[in-house]
Amino acid sequence: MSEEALEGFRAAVLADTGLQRRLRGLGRDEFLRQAVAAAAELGHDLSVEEVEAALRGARSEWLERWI
Amino acid sequence: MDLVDLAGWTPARVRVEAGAPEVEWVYTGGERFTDPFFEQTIERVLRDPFSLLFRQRTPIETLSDAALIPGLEPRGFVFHVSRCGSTLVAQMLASCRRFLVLSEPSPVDAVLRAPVVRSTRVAWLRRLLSVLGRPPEREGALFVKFDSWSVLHLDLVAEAFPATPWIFLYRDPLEVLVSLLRHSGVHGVPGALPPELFGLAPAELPDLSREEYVARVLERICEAALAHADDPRGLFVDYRRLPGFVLDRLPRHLGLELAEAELQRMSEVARLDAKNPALRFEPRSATAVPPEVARVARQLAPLYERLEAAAC
Repeated sequence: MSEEALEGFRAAVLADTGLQRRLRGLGRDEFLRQAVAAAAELGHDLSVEEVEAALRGARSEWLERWI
Repeated sequence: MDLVDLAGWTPARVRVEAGAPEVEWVYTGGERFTDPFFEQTIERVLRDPFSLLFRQRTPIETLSDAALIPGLEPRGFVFHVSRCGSTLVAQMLASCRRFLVLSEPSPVDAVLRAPVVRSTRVAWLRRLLSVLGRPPEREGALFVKFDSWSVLHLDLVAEAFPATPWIFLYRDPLEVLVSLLRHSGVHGVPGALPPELFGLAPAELPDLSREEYVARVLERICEAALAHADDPRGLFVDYRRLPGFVLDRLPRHLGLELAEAELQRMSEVARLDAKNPALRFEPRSATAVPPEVARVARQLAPLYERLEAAAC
């Protein structure tokens, strides 16, 4: 996975409330589709599998930081 | 951090152990905190892939900026000895849509126990609750149910919020002991919280039985509350007075006027299991008490008498 692409995308989303609204409240599959499309529009090359991996990583990190 | 960027975001965690203190924000939007515990609502929100993937961390100083949009001033605090109906009280209050009830929010615990000077903790607590108290919709009063050990910081909480009334819920120590030994909370596991919090040196832990450790924790919690027994803002309430207390005396103590429909909803909630509202509440049947539990409980009997004497 391109950490650089993911971090660039994350930063872009957090800076853009319109983009945030586009990605909120979606089911997992639709979120993956929208995230990949939005990333591409911003010039970040991310695949569905990479976003899925990022979600798994985010879940693990949340749990680990709790322990 | 632009304040607009944080509209709808909740400070879900505060980390102060290592390096620069930071806040972890989770987008919660208009989600109401109606689950038995703060953390459960955060977990529910994190099922949204957006909230999970796009959490953000900021220096704790961001709370100062965010608090420029002030939230509700706390209307009441709930302290407790644990296993004494505090979640029931929180759930009954949360059944009123105009109330925002934060039940054992971990960021508050982190701030209270942060290894920084007291004045900093007081300031952080005020800002944190101001941000947590920003009502998503219609909620007109903020209540906080603290972790049981937070009463050890009651003086700090009172300094931060000198006008906020509070209650301390307690129960026969034998029943609390039995419950904690059956299903332990974090404070019932030796070493899970810093032993110094309960006046213990780490070296003392191996010499204490589990029963003695839990009894020591309960003793410190109750003593901390009793140190404030003369505070006119405080009220000591025995578990046996629930749920009726929440319907009559508590509203007066907190200066609340409840509509008939709200009282009705509260009564309905009182019939449910507070920690699992999908189930009806069923009192546990009495079980045989092991001799060691009975022994340490007897040592706590004088403390229980003092709590009873302080009670309303």
